[in-house]
Amino acid sequence: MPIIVDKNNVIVAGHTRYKASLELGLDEVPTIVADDLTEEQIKAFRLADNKVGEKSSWNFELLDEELNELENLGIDMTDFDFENLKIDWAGVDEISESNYEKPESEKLRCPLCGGIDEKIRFVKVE
Amino acid sequence: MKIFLSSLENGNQCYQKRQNGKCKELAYYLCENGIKFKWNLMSYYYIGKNKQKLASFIRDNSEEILIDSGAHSFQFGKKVNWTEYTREYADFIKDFDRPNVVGYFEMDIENIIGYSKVLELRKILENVSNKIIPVWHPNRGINDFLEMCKKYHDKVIAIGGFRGTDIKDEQFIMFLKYAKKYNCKVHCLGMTRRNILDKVPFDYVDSSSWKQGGIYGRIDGRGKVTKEFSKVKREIVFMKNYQNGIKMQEHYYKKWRKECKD
Repeated sequence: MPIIVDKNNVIVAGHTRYKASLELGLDEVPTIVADDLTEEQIKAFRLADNKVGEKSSWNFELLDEELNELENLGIDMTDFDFENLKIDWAGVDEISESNYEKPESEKLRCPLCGGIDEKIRFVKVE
Repeated sequence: MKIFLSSLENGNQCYQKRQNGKCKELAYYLCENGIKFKWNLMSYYYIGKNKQKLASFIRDNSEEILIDSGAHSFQFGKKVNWTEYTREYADFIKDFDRPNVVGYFEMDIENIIGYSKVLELRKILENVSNKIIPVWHPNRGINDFLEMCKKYHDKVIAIGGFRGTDIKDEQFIMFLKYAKKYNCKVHCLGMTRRNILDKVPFDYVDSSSWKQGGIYGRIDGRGKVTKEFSKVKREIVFMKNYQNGIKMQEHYYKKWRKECKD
């Protein structure tokens, strides 16, 4: 995706690409000179360019393929919100009769007899 | 992990199509504005007989769909013929089913009608579909969960995610491990707490927080639009919130993509 500049070589869209190019030490990058746009059209283009990104979403199948490929090449993408968590299942106990802890449930008191029991055991009157 | 956004079918988010003054549901507006649906959860209670066209539209434009029986939505104390409601739900399932519908939650109203009646209603649903999702509650005892995983191996099962009443926070992962032994996919109902979602890779959860914010005119859970804006351009508020919901879907899918493979 080329960087778009106006007739005075001021960047209209692609500021991040420009910064990345500087960081990579690139001498040249592809650009499109939008010399036929008015000031107002450039402003509108800049806003629209930023806006369209909000509507994009990921194709997860392709994303999985790409990320797996990069992973195989040893490229770490976790800094770019591509965390890839794994659970160490060997260190997790399975739930069972012996280790299950029932949460304390809400209790109600019967106004007539004063008896207390779990809310779930009270029957709703329809 | 797939977060299913709920309540898109719930019609109080109608917007006025300004050219001809006709009222349309939000789902159409979102699609017209280029929003791509991923995973949505709809409630049969809201779909009923009047919104099947809208439900089909949402289904056909979503990657995957979950359907809730909606039995919880009835006003407490309202007299309902649950068998009849379940039969109607079953008829709906027969017509509505498509490959991208992941499953249909059972009649999760044990606290109203008791477990034996829930099992009876489950049978009615299982007679029409093999995608019925059983929901486990702690009062049935842990053995019932263990048995459920065996019986529903390779299928989707559900547990409750409400703080303090369903499962202790530190034990969710233990439930998940047992379910995985039987290749069950686990949906944790109503689980939107990030401190749990960041630690426990449920296969599916659901969230209506995008809608809750919109109702109160909030965008991004922080900024608040004016009452006037919320009144006349409500659909914009909801669209922003739904987009944030999609961002949350993407974040957790990416985060747990290795643990929750299809």
